[in-house]
Amino acid sequence: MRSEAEVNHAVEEYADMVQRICFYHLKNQADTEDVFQNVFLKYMTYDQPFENGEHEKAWLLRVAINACKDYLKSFFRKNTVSLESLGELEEQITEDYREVLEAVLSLPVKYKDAVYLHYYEGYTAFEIGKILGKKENSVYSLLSRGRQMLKEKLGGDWSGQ
Amino acid sequence: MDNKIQDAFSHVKADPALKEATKDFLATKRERQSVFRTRAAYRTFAAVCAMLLLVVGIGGYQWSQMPVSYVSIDINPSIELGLNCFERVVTAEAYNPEGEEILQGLSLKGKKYTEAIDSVVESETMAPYLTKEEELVLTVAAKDSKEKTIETTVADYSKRVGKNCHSVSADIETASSAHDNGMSVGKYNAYLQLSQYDSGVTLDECKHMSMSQIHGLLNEHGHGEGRHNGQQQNKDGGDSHNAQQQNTDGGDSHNAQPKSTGGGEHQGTQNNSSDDGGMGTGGHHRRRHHP
Repeated sequence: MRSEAEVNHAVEEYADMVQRICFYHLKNQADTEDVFQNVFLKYMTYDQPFENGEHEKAWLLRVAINACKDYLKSFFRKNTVSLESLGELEEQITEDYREVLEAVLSLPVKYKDAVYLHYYEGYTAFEIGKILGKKENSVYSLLSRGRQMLKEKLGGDWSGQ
Repeated sequence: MDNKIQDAFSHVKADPALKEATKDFLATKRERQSVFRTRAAYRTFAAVCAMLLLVVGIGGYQWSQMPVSYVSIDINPSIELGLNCFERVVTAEAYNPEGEEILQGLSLKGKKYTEAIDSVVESETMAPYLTKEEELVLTVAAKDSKEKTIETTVADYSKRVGKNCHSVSADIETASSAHDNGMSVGKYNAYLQLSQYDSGVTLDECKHMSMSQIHGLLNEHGHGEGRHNGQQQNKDGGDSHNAQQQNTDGGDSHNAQPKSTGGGEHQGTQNNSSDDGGMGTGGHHRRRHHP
């Protein structure tokens, strides 16, 4: 069990990241809260030491993504369809960003993961492969197809570069 | 596009309230999990507990269903009750077709052995066998600790039934060898005694004889050789009675008299559970075997 200080520090440091992952996986804030707490509970009870901050971050990413997927897999969630999370976002987000987020959210799950990890977190295909447990080449094709789909949704001026 | 995605996502931030809620949640979880460091440990503990309960439950049930002592009821129908350590009937077995017929109408399992003996002896199908010519023998085979109590109770019971009812005790080892030979303890015990006098008697013959027939044969041999087995308490009593009767009849008195006194002495040291009536009728039917 990790110390309270360590856990609180992790919550401060990675809360936004976990929130983003929950945001593009889950449908609403209530679900997000559940998963959010579970992720940090796992962190608290995970006893192996991390080699460094990067390792810790990658570990949390993987745990958060898996937690979201598990949550969606559960019976009660399977049959509910809603896209409320966007509506719940703060009003100050401009129309532009809203459009981008909507486009990303509409992608299939595996593309969303790759796109988020690459474009936001800035991981390379090789690193994404390690986090998601996929081959590097599959990540490349996920990224290029994801980019293709985004381009279609958002218009031609999206170079993806 | 990179920047736009990045910018867009950077507006997605965790609610400070959510952060605080999570910290509180983790703090309470920490307290609760202090006993079991991880959920896995808790699950393992629960599983082990459940297994233990199951094993103890099954083991305990089997233990309570294990017969540790036997009471056999023999006339010609041969019935044997297996008692568990709480002296309740766990098995009721018939060793011949007549016995099966009697057991068919009865449910004895779970009953106290005294009740079970009662309901066997008083059942309607049993009635035709309870005649003056037949002998009802209750044989108790138990381990030392239980032997005394069951024996005394059964002896008391046989006294109450009165006529033709004897109680005999046997070793628990006799019971297991009796079952190996497909006989009830009572009959097997009688066979063992008979075979001491008459090595020509086979198990099969004994199986098809009624207790009064076996005891009749025993009587004959008893007279012939004048030896008495310690376990044949009631027969000894019957012997002396019989011998005296013969004596007064003036029949074969010359031989009978000295042997009968020997029998009488034996009887004095033993726990004779048959009453005068039993002895009297014993004499009566034995006389039929000694024309």
